[in-house]
Amino acid sequence: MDVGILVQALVNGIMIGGIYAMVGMSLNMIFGVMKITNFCQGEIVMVSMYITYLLYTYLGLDPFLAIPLVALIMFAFGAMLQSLLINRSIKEDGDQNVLFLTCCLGIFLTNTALLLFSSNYRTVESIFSNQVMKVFGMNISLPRFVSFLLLCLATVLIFLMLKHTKLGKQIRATSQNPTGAQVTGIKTKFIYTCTYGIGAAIAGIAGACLMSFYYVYPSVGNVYGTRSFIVVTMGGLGNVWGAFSGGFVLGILETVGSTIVGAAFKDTLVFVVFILILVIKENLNIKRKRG
Amino acid sequence: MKKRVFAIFLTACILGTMLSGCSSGGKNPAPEAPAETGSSGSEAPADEDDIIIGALYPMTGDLADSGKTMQQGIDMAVEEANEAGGIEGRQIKVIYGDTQGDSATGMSEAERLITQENVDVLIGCYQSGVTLTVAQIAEQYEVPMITANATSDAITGNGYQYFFRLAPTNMMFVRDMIQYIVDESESNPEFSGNSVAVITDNSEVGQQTVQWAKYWAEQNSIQYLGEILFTSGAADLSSEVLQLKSMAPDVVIADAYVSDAILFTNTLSEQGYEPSLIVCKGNGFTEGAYLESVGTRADGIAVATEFVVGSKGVEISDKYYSKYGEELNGHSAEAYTTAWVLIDAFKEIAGSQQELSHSSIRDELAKIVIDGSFSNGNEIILPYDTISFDEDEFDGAPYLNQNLNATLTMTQIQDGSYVTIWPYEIAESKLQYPADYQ
Repeated sequence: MDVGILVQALVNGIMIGGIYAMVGMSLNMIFGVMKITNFCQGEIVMVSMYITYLLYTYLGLDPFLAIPLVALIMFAFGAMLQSLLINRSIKEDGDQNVLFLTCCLGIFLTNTALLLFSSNYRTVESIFSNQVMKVFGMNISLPRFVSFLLLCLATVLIFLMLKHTKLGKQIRATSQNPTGAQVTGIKTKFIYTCTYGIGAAIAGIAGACLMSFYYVYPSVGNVYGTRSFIVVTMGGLGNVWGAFSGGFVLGILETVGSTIVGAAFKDTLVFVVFILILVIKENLNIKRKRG
Repeated sequence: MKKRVFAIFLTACILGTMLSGCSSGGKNPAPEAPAETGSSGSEAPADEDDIIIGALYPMTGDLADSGKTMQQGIDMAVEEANEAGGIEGRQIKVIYGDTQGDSATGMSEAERLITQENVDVLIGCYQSGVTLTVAQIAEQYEVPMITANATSDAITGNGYQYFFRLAPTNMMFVRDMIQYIVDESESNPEFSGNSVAVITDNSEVGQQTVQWAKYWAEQNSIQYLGEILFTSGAADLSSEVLQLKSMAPDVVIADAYVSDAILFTNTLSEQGYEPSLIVCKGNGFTEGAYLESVGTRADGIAVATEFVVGSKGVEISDKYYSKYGEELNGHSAEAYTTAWVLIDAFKEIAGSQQELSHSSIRDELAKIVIDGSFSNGNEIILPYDTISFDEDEFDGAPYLNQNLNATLTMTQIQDGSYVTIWPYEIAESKLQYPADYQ
């Protein structure tokens, strides 16, 4: 096996892993705080991709420049979903309601996109589109590289926000103990709304970055939704760092792994490793509990 | 008050979902812009007297774009027939079922069309995997079925009496693709076609493309270097392209649905791999969305296709373009032609005073021969001049009710359009070699 190809595969894995990590983190943010599994996360990425597409078509905004705007719109969109629908369907006993709701929202969003945009594949050109950097004989696609940097930056910002701002502290408090948080005067419903908004905004950043090198169509959410679930379960539900590293593990597994075992076994490899990680983690957990 | 407003909002949401759900999966044409819908008049309730064609295509999901293309081809043909008075006064009506690109859904939709809509004949589906399962259902209910696009050899190899196919099979596709490489090697001293490698998805069609590429390469003493398989609907194809690069074949043979085709082409340029020539099986590489998305990065890619704009039937392709705002391609041309085969079969049955039934349609399709043009005088727009459904055997693989006359045209994408380069008698241009991808 040629070392150059392996290194190139590793680089590719890190680049694609960044996107997986981002979508995974957005899912985990929501799960971590509200303990609800958001089945329409992929569709939220899809919505943000269409928003990026619209901003590009009508305002000529480059997908990278559009990121702040997309994040803002997605925050509003997410906050609206949460306050109008999800907050109202959260029940004390179990989360079937929310499960069905997010599932249906996903179908609803896909079909709405189908009505509005038809089933065409749509792409956007950015200033970095189709440019390739050559570093030490490796090819690095510029839009992917810029996306990767932006994702790292966004992750750091989210961490600082969670650690140091008042809202971040309230979010963490609500996540640790909702009743306790409520007793101390935190408006938990408001925090939920913000959290879902932030989750959607992170997905929005991922979506805008994706648009610079991928294409959007109504059911594109499936491609990333399924992977984001693998990412968060690998990294640990509710654990934002876990999702971050899980994304990269998945990305590298897909590219380096498939270079070694052959592309036909890419998915097999991913799922075998996924199962192994789950089993090992569970065993470690049991051991830890036994002391 | 607040609750009531919320209740109204929720109701609106549910209604919205239902509406969008049924327009994509139900009886109406695909949810397109208003100008494009209502073409076949299929919104009107079914008349007792109507001849009903059940059509199964992916109308939602990641293949919806291709499904729409074929739907437009069928709609245009049916509309032409209806405008010309239908079949002895009876109108033809198309009822669509949405396979969502999934075999299980395709199966239940087929059963719905057969048992509830009482269709006279089925047409579809796009993907071979889905077509294979639906063909089983059609055989079981003894409903004639014809496919315009599915290319898997297996479907006409099961001995199904009620299944017919217009499209060339994978064997025929790859046969013509390799034949082109051989012809080009002989006539073009610059061209090197001594080795091939295949990149395709791991669906049934992909496996057959691999199988036949191996077979035909060996038959023509071309070195077969191996295949790279990926899962359709990929998020990333970089490692696949890297593997292909390390194989370094003279010619790459590619087969993919449109989303993967776009990703594949973009990944080639990202990974800095420029094969001297890529020969693709029509499929995703001929869809309108493909060129739109990849632009000049596709320049130089050779595509084997069932139809080239400008080669035949210019009037028909012009009409299609003005109607739907996109070029007629291999898929829509085949769907259009298939619908006309059915229409001519109906006419034949009606003309001979037989009753139109499942078995009479089956018998008629089995013996129909369309030579040069259809009953309305339009020529066959595909590269061949005869359509008939015959039985044969090839390398141990049986074919029944297969249009064995089908051949393909090789085109190359030059300056953003498909230019015929083979067969040499009808070539508009010579091969640009090596491909420049810009």
